[in-house]
Amino acid sequence: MLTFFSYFIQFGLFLYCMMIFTSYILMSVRSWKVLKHHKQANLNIDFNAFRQNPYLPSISVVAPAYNEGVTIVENIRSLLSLGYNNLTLIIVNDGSKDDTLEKAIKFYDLEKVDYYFEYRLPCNEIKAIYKSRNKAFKKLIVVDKANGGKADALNAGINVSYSDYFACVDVDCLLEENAFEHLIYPVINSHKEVVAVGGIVWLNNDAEVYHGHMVKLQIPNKFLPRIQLIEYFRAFLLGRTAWGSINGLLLISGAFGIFHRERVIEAGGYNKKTVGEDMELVIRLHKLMLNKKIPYEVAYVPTPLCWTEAPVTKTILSRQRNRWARGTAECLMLHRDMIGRKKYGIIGLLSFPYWLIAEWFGPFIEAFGLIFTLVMILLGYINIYFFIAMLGLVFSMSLFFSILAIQAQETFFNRYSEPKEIGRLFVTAILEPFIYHPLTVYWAIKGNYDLFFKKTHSWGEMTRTGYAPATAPKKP
Amino acid sequence: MKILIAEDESLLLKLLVDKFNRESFEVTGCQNGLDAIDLYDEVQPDIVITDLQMPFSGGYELIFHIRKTRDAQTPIIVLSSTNVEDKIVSSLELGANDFVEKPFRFNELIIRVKRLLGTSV
Amino acid sequence: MNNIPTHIQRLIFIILVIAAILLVVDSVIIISILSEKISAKRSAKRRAEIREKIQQYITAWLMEEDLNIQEFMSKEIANYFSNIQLKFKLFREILYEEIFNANKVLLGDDQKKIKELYTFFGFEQKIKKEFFRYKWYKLVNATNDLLAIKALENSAMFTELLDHPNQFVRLVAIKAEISMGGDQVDILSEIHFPLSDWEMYEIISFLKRSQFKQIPNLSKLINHESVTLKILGLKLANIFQELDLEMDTKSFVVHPNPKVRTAIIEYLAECGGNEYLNDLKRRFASEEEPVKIAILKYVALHGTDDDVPFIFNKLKDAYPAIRVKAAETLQNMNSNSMSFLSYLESNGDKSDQKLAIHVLNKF
Repeated sequence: MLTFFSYFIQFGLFLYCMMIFTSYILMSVRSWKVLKHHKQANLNIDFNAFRQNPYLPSISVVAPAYNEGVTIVENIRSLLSLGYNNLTLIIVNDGSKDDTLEKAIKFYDLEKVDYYFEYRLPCNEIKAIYKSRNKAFKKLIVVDKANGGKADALNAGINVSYSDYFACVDVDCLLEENAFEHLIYPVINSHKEVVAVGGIVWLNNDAEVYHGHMVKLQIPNKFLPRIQLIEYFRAFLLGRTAWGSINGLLLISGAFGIFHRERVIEAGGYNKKTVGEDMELVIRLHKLMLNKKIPYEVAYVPTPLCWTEAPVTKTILSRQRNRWARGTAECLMLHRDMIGRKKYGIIGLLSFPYWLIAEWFGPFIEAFGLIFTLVMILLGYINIYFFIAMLGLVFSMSLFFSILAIQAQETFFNRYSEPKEIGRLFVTAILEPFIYHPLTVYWAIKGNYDLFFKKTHSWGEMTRTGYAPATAPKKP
Repeated sequence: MKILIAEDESLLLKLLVDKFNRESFEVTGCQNGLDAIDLYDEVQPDIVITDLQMPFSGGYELIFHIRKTRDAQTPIIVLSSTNVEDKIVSSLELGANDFVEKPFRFNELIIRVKRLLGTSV
Repeated sequence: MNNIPTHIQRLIFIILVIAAILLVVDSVIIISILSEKISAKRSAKRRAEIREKIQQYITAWLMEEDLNIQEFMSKEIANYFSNIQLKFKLFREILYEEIFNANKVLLGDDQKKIKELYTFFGFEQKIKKEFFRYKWYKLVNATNDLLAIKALENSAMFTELLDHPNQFVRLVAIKAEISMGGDQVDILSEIHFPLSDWEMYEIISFLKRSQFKQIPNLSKLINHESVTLKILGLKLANIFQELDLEMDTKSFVVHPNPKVRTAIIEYLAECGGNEYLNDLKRRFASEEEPVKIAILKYVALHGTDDDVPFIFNKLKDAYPAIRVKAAETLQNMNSNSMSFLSYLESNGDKSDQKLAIHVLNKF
């Protein structure tokens, strides 16, 4: 009886394994094709000419800032230097306790103005709106509001915006100079309504940055960020590229993306009650458009456009992964009615089940599988050689995808020139399954535990760890 | 006459430097806005030619530095590939004296420079 | 291992073989990436050196006033490059890049000299080869380069490409055909695929850059059955200020496609009279945001004092963006509407006051 039971479970685990690997293979094949086409197409698009095009949709950059006094002036300067023609910059000071606002006022010569806006999305009180007396900074709007967390600050920024699209940007991110030209391209080249566009978020730990511009990029020196870099490669190059190309994207990184302003307002803006507000919004946009039966697109641009620093210490990383796990669980539960519904097309039939099984349940299945197998070996129900062979297979498969992701980086982006650094990346990829992967599984399970049993309501204390650079990195 | 040229494309910068050298200017060239600001303070040029889009900080910041921070009336010519009215207007509003759109003719640029300096053409 | 049943043994064997194959593939990839990296690093240095020399060389040629290109080449080239460097594939690659960089920013005599350089080094042959290799992106790239340096020769191949499934190929075929002297409207009306906004921008800016004074026969495009060609036609009519067009304006104003409505209203605003004022005002309430904005623009240009109440009404529109636009319309229409806005600034209700301040200060 027990033997049968053990085989049954083993068979299930094996099936899960094969399913995950098959989907990875399918995603990689699809991504490769898309990346190739994208690269060839980009050779023939003159993004600099976009800059001169007065007819492009307007974009407001909404950048929430909380206690950023040290860096706010540099960050605003960096955002102001973006070349897009139709750009407004909305900095939302989310009730900082330090001198963020004062510094901005002083440096950019800001004055309070009677700016006309309406609370179309719920957000805490907007106390004042500032604009610069200096015409060189006429694109800059600074919003001072009562503290309410990132989602709340973004909603406030959207209320103030009159542009066709708004971009959510973490104020500590570095953007490529022509980031918005790249993001707007799918909008103006689609025959459908494009409600949101995301791009690749890439890590730049240890890169040389000078006055808000990256001078030299290099592979992170420390082990943890280096491993995360490989994770980002896998997620952004091999994963999201594929999902984006079939309009199945469930998540546009909270660090960087553009959204259709009116559609977001129609959908109700950012949800303050979840830690996964970025994912939740994208799902709600899908739902809105699919319910209305309007042909639409959530596009993805496989070009590195946004650079950010990964957490370097285990404590901060664990907090981040904990949040991601909670965010994923919350979003999937909140919109569970979409799962498997034919009405919701690719989202309901493919994206949602994939996220459910691979992203949410994945860590549980993996942990359970490992413990179960070990127990069964001890009890003598499973052959140890079989176990070792399986382990070898899983290892070689996961290594294969890491290597493939690095190869994709080489073929399509080639951002690193030092052979030695790439060598270190390979070593990291080999070590990952042993050292790092078990940790991420543990953190994810811990996140779910916190959500369900400790009732760490995301909308309690969480907001304040919100956006200090190291504490709230972006989900790949 | 001392001239400061800020232009990020190295070929064009070389060309501008050589051409103005031949017109017997004392030329200083640089490839980004921050260097330009430093060099401006160091060289004290009689005229400045600048691109708008450059790494680190663009032409606007340079103009702002010259007109506001240093409160100087050094003639400034903006040499840029933009033809967006907004950008041309705001660079002129900030205090640039002239705007030349790329692609451009060298002879024309040289005449504009000389006119601004009040020397005979 | 002997006590394991054979079928499990076989299974273990298969699994191990798969794992081994994957590991071999992994190591092949690793080795190939690393060796590529190492050789790339070596050539990067060489590249930088050659680029520097080439830039000096091109500058010297542009500064040259007496010698013609043949003389200059025979005399000067040895001063810059060794014979070995001249044979590098890299040399021609970088030279090609730099020639096109220079071509992009120069005009007049300097541009002519750049083209002489291009001809001297026989790059035309190189480009023509790309035509027959027929990788689409190379073809597009080559054609764009030829267009940029104004060296595109008459060729029949582009006519077929107007119907190519790849949008980049179609677009470059349109540009090529037009620059070879074809009739713009005839070429554009050949297109069967719907145009995206981006393609329209590209075509419009290409026509503007080519410095055509006018586009004859635009009516044909505007009355084309394809909706996107209609829109393109109307946009072109607006930009090139074509006044005498044969079209059924009335049916366009009520066209089911909002983009057509926006385009026609914008055209009428710039190039038409005030005869649609009442029609458009009546339609306003049922329109979508972009069309509403176009109507307000029309009113701003053609409205009279009688329209002030209509605009005033719109200061209470459901969409804040429309309210701002309406206030801007008051500001721009005529002096009376402007003074009405100033009046609102001090005497309107609270929302109107804020709106007036917002617009008058150009926030």
